[in-house]
Amino acid sequence: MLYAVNAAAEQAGIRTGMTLADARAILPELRTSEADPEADNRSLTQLADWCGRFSPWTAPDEDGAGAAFGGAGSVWLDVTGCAHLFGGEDALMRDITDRLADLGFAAWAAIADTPGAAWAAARYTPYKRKHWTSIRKGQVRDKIADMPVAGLRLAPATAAGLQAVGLRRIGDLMPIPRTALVDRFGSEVADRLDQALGDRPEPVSPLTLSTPWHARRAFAEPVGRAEDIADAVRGLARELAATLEADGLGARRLTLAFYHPDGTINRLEAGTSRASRSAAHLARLFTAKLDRIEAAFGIDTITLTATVTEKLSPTQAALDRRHDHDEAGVAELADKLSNRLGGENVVQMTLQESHIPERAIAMSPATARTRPVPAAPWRTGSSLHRSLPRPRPLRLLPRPEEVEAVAPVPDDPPVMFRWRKQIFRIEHADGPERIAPEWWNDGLGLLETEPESIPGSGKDESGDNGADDDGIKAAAGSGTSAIQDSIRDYYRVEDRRGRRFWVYREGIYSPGTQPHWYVHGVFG
Amino acid sequence: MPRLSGSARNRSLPPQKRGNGGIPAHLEELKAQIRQLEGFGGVLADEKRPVLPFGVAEIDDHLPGGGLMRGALHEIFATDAGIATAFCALLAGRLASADGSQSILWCERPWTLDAGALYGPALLQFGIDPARVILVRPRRDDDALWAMEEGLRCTRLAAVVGEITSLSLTASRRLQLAAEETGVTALMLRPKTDKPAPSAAVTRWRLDAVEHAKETGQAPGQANDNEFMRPGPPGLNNARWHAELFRCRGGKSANWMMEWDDETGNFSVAAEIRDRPPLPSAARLAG
Repeated sequence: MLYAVNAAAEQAGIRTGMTLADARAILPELRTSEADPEADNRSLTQLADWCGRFSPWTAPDEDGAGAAFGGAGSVWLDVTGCAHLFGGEDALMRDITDRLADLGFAAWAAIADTPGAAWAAARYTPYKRKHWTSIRKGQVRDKIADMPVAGLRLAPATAAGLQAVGLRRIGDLMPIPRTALVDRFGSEVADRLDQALGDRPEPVSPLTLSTPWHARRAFAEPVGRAEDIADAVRGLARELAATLEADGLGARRLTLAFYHPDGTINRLEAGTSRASRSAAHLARLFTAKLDRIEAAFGIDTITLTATVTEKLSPTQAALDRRHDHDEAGVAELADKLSNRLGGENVVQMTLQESHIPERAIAMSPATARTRPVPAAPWRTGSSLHRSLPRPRPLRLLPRPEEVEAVAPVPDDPPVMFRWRKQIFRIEHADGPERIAPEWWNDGLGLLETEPESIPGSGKDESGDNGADDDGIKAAAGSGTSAIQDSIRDYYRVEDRRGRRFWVYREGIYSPGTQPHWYVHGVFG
Repeated sequence: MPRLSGSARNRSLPPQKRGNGGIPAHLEELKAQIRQLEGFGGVLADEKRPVLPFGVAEIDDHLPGGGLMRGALHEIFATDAGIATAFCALLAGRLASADGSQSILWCERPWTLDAGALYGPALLQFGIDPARVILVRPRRDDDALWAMEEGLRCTRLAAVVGEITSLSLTASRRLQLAAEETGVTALMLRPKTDKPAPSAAVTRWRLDAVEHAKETGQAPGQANDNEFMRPGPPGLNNARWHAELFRCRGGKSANWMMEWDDETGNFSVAAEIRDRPPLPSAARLAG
């Protein structure tokens, strides 16, 4: 008996299920070979595996394959949220069928709301030139109504039974009460009908444990260079890390899969000691293993999937990230530089919660051991700009330098000043921004304090030498110096030649006194 | 803070189309050959080499590969330390955020230190986390070059910035090779000279402040139109730099008036100069 026939034989009138003798009578030169259902199933499983390049969620159609269904096996792909990666559903299906054709398979693809409807559509859509079809959302009922009842994945005997009583099309079954169908044909027909229409859920078990934490990169031309592959893996790790972050998860186990143009697949597995979603960390898990990948024919798709995940809080992730950056490379570099240039010459900046410009930053040796833990709310990227109260100069003079300034209006920025024997004529100015030691004007209401800033910046000059917070706060209120005890009105000014400076007037203007002006930094 | 004058802000410029469609294929081939002959491991012939786009079509279309080549040495000459620092900080900040948030090595030398030390809080505006900057203050240029080379060999860095007064061709080659090897980008800040010695840098830039034309703005002290009727100079506009790309391997030199918006962190090319043809002296093919 014929188990399956190809398109040419079918055209000659030969059908699945005929006896060999009948077939030979129609077409004497018919070539046959022994059916091997096990091998068929194996290759179907391989094919499902191969389809992993299109969706992380694939499975061979185990109960819809084999002799009963005309020898045509099928593979399920859940393409929810995948199609746009390929330029839409049509482009995705064209890609699938074209690639399968290249591998020697005659393939038809269909996308529908339910597996059952897709199964029917793939087999019973009157195809013209293209080998794919899709049933739009909500149109399942209309579209499959005209298809033969065999489209419901029924055993041939059941389908024949339905036809015998005149129920040829799926649409013929729809108006019949389900109980009547069950009584007459067993639960098979009713179940399949409900599954196709989506009235009854149909769980399909995927080939691999699939998760939505999946990243995929396809190449227009197969790549083989180690750098390109490593680059792609880093990109995938970033993508996956972003997905994990959105869900508050970290990866414990990962699979990196390489799809080769000849249909073979290579997989690398990696685990983490604790949940992580640091892109650099995830990528590093695989870097040492990448040379194991046979890239002789190139790689056309790479996917990275987090197969096991755990909850990971943002704080934990931040700690990991910091750990990530501090470890190995950078810390080693800092050590090496410090050893040769001296620890005091290799430093790291730490922002301090003070609005006194000199106090807003502390320097400490950059060696790994003493690396300070940055305090503060400005850590996360997006809040960087927001947390900035005012523009600050890129370069700050270690000490403000007094200048001779001409400011015709006492409350205004100078129109010109002389600094380091040069004359600067001011064309533009922004300001003033009033900055004062907090204790000075509490109660005077002169200070534009940031809500989160903590009163108590000190005046001890050791701030630049890495004194810790406590040291600075302890020093607050003791000692005085002319500069720091006064209010400063800072202006950003631009001179005629386009250079920008940060200048301030010391003290509140009072009639009869000559205000002192200082340059404190330069802008870009 | 309220801006006293907003006249020149936020010009939205349509991207200029400068497709390569018209260039015959063999010309492209020749260009690729030239890039190969230029040496440096033939690395410049590789079209897929990662670049850092400026995000401005005028500049990106001009640069080979569509942006500033990463894993390469770039030199920036400037008279004004502030402007040079800002330009480098912008590029370094973008490099650092392009690969997650990575560290930056910054070597300070006296020629810029005269204008003050790199100030952490300001780096935030450039997208740089100050805690991720290793600041090195070497006593000699040699030490700075050594530190830069060490930095370039550390793949965990996004960028290495060095403020170097003099740079020999050999030293520049060493840095360029180290950068190529690891993909870490090197930015060299140098005081402006009239005739810079040859170097292996992939691009060389001259940066200047843009002088005020006599007719722009109001005269100092003239009344201003803000609600307080406060006399005094008008407020600051976007920072403007005149950038001359006077050396670009695999590309041509060019001039731009760059404008930088300190609120959005975006570059643009100022309208006044963008439609002008490049200066005659700059119109040679770099080789």
